Amino acid sequence: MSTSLDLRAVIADVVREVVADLVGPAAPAPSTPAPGTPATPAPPAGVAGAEHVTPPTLRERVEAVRIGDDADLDRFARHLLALFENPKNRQDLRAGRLRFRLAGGAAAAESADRPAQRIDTGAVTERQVRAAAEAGRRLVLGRRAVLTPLAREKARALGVPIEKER
Amino acid sequence: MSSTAIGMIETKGFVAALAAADAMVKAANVTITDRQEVGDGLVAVVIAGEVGAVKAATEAGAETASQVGELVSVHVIPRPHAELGNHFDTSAT
Repeated sequence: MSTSLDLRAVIADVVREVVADLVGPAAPAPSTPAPGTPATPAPPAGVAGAEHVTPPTLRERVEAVRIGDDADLDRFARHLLALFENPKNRQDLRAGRLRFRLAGGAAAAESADRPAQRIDTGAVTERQVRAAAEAGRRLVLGRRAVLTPLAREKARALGVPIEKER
Repeated sequence: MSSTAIGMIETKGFVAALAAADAMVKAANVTITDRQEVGDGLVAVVIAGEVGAVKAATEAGAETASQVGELVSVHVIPRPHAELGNHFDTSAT
């Protein structure tokens, strides 16, 4: 009996060590998120070593990621790699408990992606703004184009970007 | 007429201004309060009425003016200050 108890204790020690080795070095990785990745909530670095006492609020996480250019994309890829080194984060990612969404600059990027509809002269009315919104376009007004007050309100309501050339 | 707004349309050329003025009074319940000719062919028409009516009227007037002639500017002041009436003929107090 005593040998089996000893054996059990040894196995428990080994398991504890192995788990500590697996979790320990990876734990600090997410606490230092990739530089320049804004609005990233602090990953539960301290929770990883704490014997599976994950608070229920951390079960599902959505990280805001700002991707405006190639550098941002590169930073995000590196951040993702760092997250993947942690087994818990890896499982969360695979199971869909850790998700990402585009933050902040998404609207600006979207407005730059929209094809431009150019109006050089005459009145820019509410009807034209609505048509641009339905077509998913942004409006570029020439020097002699005049935006009516109602059209300006409509553009703001529908989120149609309007650029005026001077 | 407590919530009186004023709307202005300026065109280059008399005909466009006249067409715009006609379109404005037909489009909504507004009245023409002033017509200004500042020279160089610029004619401005000022209307007054409820805010929504003035906005709708200027919308119609601007479209007509740009079809007939050259539209220079459109503007709506939803609640003009009383002081304006002392120096401009807005008739919207």
